[in-house]
Amino acid sequence: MSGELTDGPPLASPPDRADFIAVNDTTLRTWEWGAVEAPPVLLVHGAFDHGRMFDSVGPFLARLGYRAIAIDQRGHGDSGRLNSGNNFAINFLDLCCLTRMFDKPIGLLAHSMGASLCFSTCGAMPELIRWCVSLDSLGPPSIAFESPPITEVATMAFDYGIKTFGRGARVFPDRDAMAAQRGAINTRLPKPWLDHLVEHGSTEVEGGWTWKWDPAFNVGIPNGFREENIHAELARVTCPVLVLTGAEDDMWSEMGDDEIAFRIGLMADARQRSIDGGGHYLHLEQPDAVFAEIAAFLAEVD
Amino acid sequence: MSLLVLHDFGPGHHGQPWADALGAAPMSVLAPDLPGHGGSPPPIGGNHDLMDPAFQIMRLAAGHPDRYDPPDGFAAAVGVGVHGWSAQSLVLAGRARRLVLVDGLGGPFLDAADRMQVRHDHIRRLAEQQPISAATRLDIGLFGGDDLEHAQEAAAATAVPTLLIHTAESTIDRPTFEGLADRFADATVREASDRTPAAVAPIVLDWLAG
Repeated sequence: MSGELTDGPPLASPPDRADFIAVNDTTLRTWEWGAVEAPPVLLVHGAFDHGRMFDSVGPFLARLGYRAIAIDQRGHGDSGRLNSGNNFAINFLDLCCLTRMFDKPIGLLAHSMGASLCFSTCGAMPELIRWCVSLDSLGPPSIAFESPPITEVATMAFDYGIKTFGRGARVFPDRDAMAAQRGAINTRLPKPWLDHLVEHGSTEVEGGWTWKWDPAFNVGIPNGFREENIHAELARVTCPVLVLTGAEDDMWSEMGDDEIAFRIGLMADARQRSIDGGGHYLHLEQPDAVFAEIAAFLAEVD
Repeated sequence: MSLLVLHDFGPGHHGQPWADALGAAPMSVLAPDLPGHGGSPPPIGGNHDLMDPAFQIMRLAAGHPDRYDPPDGFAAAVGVGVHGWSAQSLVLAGRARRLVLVDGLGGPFLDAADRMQVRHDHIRRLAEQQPISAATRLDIGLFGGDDLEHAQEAAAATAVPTLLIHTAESTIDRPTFEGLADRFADATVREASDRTPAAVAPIVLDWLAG
């Protein structure tokens, strides 16, 4: 893995076009598949990822007749940097600005935290969103809101922030070490995709390699993020929504069926399907099943 | 030890008037121009956030730990308006021995549905004006600090001596202010006509001397 990949992940194709666009006083990297005049779909990755995670989803949507545009979110990949850490509101504003850059309402397809951002965007810009597909996200599960005491969280944030701004991003000796770190967290990621995410999510620096994501993204000060906010956000979503969840034990699988059903029920027109054999990265683990569900949903609503 | 002042958000606000007004304090005064204010450049990526002052202090501390992350902490952290939360965060993180909040308890407080409505309206207003000048961003302001439960939790966790100054410019009414003040372990409450350094500094100096 120290060099280039020899075999890419299954069903993946590199983007037809790559560009940078100026949005909301920053620059976002875009990756595109499909005809430029086709109906646009914005693809939004989750925390610590990047737009090339959609190298199989993008071509699939292009085959369905869409223009798929994946972004590297602010603070991720090749896009602009962050000022004040893990800041949901600014990435949310970036998405709202993006929706206004097209001459017609768009579809949204997103993974994990990206899907949470898209639900917020659906609520804020409802006339500009045709539909939304969420890959394994209805917001963090209830258990995620049981945080340590506020003093502990604040202390950790300042300790980590000062250290990070002083030393910069962690430098790994090679990409194998990065893959080992990532693979220990996302244990279900298929190896070809793990290597792919590392290849496109890292950059060479003096002495080794670093992740492209901004280390400031890892710094968060307590700000009153609570479950009732998630519920209120979902209650504002009016467009057709498909939520695909992984059936296998993985990150965020603490959300039980009752909690999933409750959150789905908050939205005006949402349905949920569970993907057997899939975890948090279900679109990379079980692409055929995921693509079949998305195709059926789009045939119904678009 | 030094006194750290995080000035208010918005056009015209910067650090020097606070450094001048608190010049008689029995310790040195650090009153940096916060991102996009006074002589400081806008925040990275242009967008302001409630926590900009806290992150500014982290960056300053990384470069000048002796001044901005002293081993014994700041003698006091002063937060004005929406920047009160950054000052209180420093205290919660054990980095200041006393706390002064000038209309800095947050608010107006909203229930979750109204909170989302207000936040979405705010985001939409910004999105519809793109591209947007730095001056307009300052005019439009920030959202956040709108969760009463969070403000209550922070108040109850604040163990250091605290001076709470309530002015006519406050975004919360007097009963709400008093309800939050009661949750602090050691709070002194004072009134001021407004949030200006001229109105507030004498109260702060008197409290520090006491």
